[in-house]
Formats: sequence, structure tokens, C-alpha cells
Amino acid sequence: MLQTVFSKAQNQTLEQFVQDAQQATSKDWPQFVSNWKYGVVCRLLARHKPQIEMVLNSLLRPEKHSVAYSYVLGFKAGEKMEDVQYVQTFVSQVKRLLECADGAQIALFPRPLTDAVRAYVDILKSEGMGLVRVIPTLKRAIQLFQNGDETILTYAHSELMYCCVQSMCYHLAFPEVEQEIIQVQSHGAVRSYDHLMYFYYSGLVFIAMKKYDKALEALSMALTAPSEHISAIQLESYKKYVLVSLVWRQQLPKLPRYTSNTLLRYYRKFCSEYVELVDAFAEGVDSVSKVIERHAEIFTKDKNFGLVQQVKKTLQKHAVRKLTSVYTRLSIEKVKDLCAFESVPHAKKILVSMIRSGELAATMDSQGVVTFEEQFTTSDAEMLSQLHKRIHSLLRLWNSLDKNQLEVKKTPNYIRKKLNLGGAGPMMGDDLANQALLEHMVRSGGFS
Amino acid sequence: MEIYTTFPTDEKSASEWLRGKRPINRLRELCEQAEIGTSSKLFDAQAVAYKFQLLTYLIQNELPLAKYLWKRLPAELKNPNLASEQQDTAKGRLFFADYYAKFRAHASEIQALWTIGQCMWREDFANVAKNINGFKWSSYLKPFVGELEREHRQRMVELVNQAYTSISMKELAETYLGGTLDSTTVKDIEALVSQQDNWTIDPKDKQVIVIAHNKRELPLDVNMLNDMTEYVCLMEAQQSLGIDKMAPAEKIQ
Repeated sequence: MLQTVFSKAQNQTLEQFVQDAQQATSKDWPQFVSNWKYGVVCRLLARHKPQIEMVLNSLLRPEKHSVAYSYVLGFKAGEKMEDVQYVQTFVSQVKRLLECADGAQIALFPRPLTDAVRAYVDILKSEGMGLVRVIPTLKRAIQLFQNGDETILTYAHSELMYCCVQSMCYHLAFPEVEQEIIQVQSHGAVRSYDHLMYFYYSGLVFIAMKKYDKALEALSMALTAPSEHISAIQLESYKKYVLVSLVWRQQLPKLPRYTSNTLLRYYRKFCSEYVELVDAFAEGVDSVSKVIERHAEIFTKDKNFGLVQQVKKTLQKHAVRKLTSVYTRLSIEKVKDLCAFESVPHAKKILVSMIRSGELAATMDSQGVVTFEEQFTTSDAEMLSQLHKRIHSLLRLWNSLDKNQLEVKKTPNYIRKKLNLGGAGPMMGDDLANQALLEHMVRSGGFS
Repeated sequence: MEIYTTFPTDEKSASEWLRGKRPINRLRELCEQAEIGTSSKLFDAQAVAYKFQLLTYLIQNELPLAKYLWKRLPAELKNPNLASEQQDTAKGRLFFADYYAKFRAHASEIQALWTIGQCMWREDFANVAKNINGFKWSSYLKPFVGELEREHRQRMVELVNQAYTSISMKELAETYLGGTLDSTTVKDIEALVSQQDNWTIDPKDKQVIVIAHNKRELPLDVNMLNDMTEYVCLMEAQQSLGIDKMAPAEKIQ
């Protein structure tokens, strides 16, 4: 029995911890993690500070006892980082663990390593060696934390996006930024701050790469995050969201219904300049220019002036697109007059640029006659492959959701609730029949 | 350090590189790797790597990437005149003169590359071609610049294909190919027309190229069609049986 190998709660000592780790084989680690609570180990280590280095150097091996090793590093991360020597050893230990850790073990309980990496990244940042150098470490950490499941959001994700944006190395955010996140790592490894940061900064990555639809998706994840109080990150996300919507969709779509009312109120109150811009957008170029002029200082301070300028530019495109609902053929001179463009070549340039980016279905001829087409004509083969791609990505999403749902359904707590067995408390002796039923259900894989 | 020895060093090795498999992607990966590993102090091999990196982004039409690479380049490379500006400061006059002079050649070349990038960014197509031909490129860059020219031309042909039903030779030459319409350009364009199967020169007006827009239908992929049929059948079956509602967990009570 496992219980005889591992210690009971009463005699948890550092020796026992090390011994358990050394004796554990690969299938014992889940038991190890549930026996040794992180908090308990931290309190234990606090009493045995002088022995910690010995444990790390000679008793535990990072590649074999990854999770135990990470417990100790997680504890060290919480200590004061003043002594240079201490910081240096800590950095090299985290580095070593990241290089050779066993992902399967770390995934069992990623919290300690998350704490250690948090401290590690802070140290690297304060050394001012350039955020680019941190990026490979973070990518490695993501691999370890996810352990093959690419739908999990980890702490390292948010730090990675931050570093990529700050160092302007947007290309390094790929492919992680495009992973479809449907889970957040548990046990307090990802804080709500990390979650907001991740979606805000990945929004910025997409804006920089001019993938506006993806940017809107990411930003809306940040600004609809359920909360009672507003976060500065959410405010900034809202500002960017407004601007990108105007640039990309020429309007501000309504926020989803699940957005909390408190947030909606705050957005209107604290982003009034941006709301004004939306109203002006409907009125035309002159009003937009006025609003931009009036609030130029705020837009610049928010570092949104580039996007604001693009909003103004997109008005020209908006004017052209309006024509398509009225005309099917027009001379380029007429387009110029109707949209109030400065010259014929300029009008032509805008048209070509829109055709090029797929925003407009039209053709021109040598006489300068523009023909607007009903819609984009895609060939059957293209259509088929598009459909195919979408169905596949949907199926992927569905399958991973389904898997998670099954996991939840298999937990004793869920089944207990479902069968009205009296809350999640411990079972009484006469509940044996129920317990047998419960165990049977867990074995047979939940209800479905 | 050994990463830098893999870069092409002269025209011959550069052409050889281009004959390899996925040459541009391979070069891009190499450059990005070199950039992550580089120290904050600039040195010759890294300056060369930056040039390759900017050029591969331009070839692949990754303009945002090119723009941000330019933004994060060290100051020594962004401004070829930095050396003379720095010389005016009294402190370390000689050192700065030497240090920046070392990178001046690299700086002016990378500046020329970025000028091309800016034209692409502004969709000022005529000047892209002009700027490609208006600089004396280092021998190891030359084959790649040639690749950029080919790619750019190809993109222009596709754009004209997409946006026009007919176009005058003058407009084609001046707006897209970056030259004035003279006898050599006409020959050039005629060659171009003969390469495209849907382009013809208008028999009435020799100055106009007619572009036919007949859709070339690609044959459908049988496997995909098969999959799709299965999906549709499955959905129809579920609908007729009415089992598309998911409620097993609720019913068990």
C-alpha cells in the first residue's frame, strides 16, 4: 500500500520529505503531491533553512525529483533576495530545473515552479539584460507547465506576451499567442492579474501584426472578465478595443451580454474621449478631426495616437464602401468627387489598396471605370477547404471541452452534488451503499 | 558564435543558399535565432545578420515584422551619420569616430533596405522597384535582393490581376513596375504579358492590356468532399432522431 511507503501527517519532517521523494517511482508522484501540501513543506523548510542548500545540491536531482525540487525552489522564491550570492545560486538552480525538469511531474502541481519562475523573471528583468533574453526561458516554462496540453493558460504566457511587446519582438509571441485557451492553470498558479495581462498584451501583439479580428477577440476577453471593480488593464483594453473596432469594422459592436454592468458604467465614465470619437465617426471626417484635435494630448498620453490616426484614415475607406450599396459602376472621377478625395490618383490608390486587402470587391479598367461586384466570388474548392478548416478547428475545440467536462463529472464532489448526498462533506459510515454507487460511477467514467 | 558562420558570405554562397530547400524560411529562422542570442554590444557579424533579417521579412512581405525590426535596431545601424554627429562631443572623440565608422557601410545599406520597406508600407509600388535598383548592394546580399525583386514583381502582377479588367501600359509601367514607358519597358511588358495566360494586348489599342477574369476552377479534393458528406449525414441523422439535445446528466435523477 502507498500509505505505508509515505509518511502520515503527524511525522512530516524534512528528512521524511526527502526520503519520500528519493523513493518515489514515476507512478508514485500523484500520491506524493497529495501527501505533501505545498504550504506544509514551506513551513517545514522555514524551520530548516541551513539544510536547504544541501537538499538541493546533493539529495534531490532536478531531472528525477522535479516536483520536490520545485517545492524547495518555490520556498526560496518567497525569501528576501538581497544577498548577491543567494540570488545567483537561485537563478542557476531555477535555470537548471527548467532545462531538465520532467513535465509530467510539474504538471501534477505547477504552483511551486510558477512561484520560482515569477521570482526568476523578476530578477532577470531587474538586471536589465534585455527582455529578449528572457523569452526562450518563458517558452520552455510554458512547455513544462502545459505538459502537452496546449489549451491551458499558464503564468508564463502572460509574462511572454509582456516581454514580446516591450522588446518589440512580436514574432517571438508566435505560436503561443495563437493557442486556443480554454483552461486556466489551477492551484493559484495563474492570478487574475496574469489572466488580464495575457489577453491585453496578446491583443497588442495582434494589433502590431495587423491581425485586427484576432486582436478584438483577445481584447474582449480582457474587458469582459467578470469583476466587481474595474482594473486599469481593462480600461486600457477598452480604449484599444474601441479604436480597433472603428479601424476594422467601422463601428463599435455592442459588448456581449455577460459583461458586468459595473464595468460598462466605468468604461463610459473613464473613456469618454473614446466614446466621443465613436459618435464623431458616424458624423464624418470633420467631426472626427475636431475630436482628435481636442483630445490629442490624452490620445498621445495613452499611446494610442497611431491608432487614432488610422481611425481617421479608415473613414476614407468607409466612404468608398458606402458607395457600393448605391452604385454598381462609377467613373473614378465620380468616386473622387463623391468621397471628397483630393485627386484621381489618390482615389485610385485607395481603391487598389482596398481591393488588395480584400476589403472591397471591385475591378477597374483602363478607362477609369470602376465596377463594384456583389460579393467575393470564391471557387468551390476554396470554399470547401475553408469549411473544412473551420469544422476541424471547431471539432478540436469541442473535443477538448468535452474532455474537461468529463473530468469534472468524474470528481466525487460533482457526483455527490448531483445525487444530493448532502454536500461535499466527509461520508458517514451508513452511507456505504452510496459510496459503493459513487465508486462505481467514477470507474465507469461519469454519467455520460 | 558558430551560428554566424552559417550565413552566406559572398555572391556564390548566397546563390547556393537560394537553391536549397525553403531558403528564405531557413534564413529567417537563423537570423531570429542569432538575434535572441546576441549581446547588447553590436559586432560585425550581427550587423550582417540584421541585414539578412530585414531582407527576408521584405521578401516574405512581413511588413509589420520589418517595421519592428527597424525600430529595435541598435542606433549605430539606424543612422549612418551618427559617427559625424558624435564626433562633435568632446568626450571620447576618437573612440566614437572609429566605432561608428566601422558600422557606417552596414548602416547605409540597412537604411537602403528600410527605404524599400517604407515604400512597400505606403503602397508606393513604383518606388519599390526604383529603390531596389538604385543601390549598390554587397555581394552576399545581391542574390537575395534579386529574389526580392522577383517576388515584388510577382505580387504586382497578382495585384493587377485582382484589381483590373484592363490597364494601359503607361499605368502599368509607371504605377506598378517603377519605370517610364520607353522601348525597353514595352518589350519587358510584352514579355510579361506572354507569361500570363489570361493577359492579352488589345488588338485595337496596342497600349492597353486586357485581363480576362475567367475563374480557373481547381479540381475538388475527393477526401475533403468525403469528410464533408459524412458531417452532413451525421447532422441530418441527429436532426431526424431529435438527439441533438445533450441532456444525459440531467435525466439520470
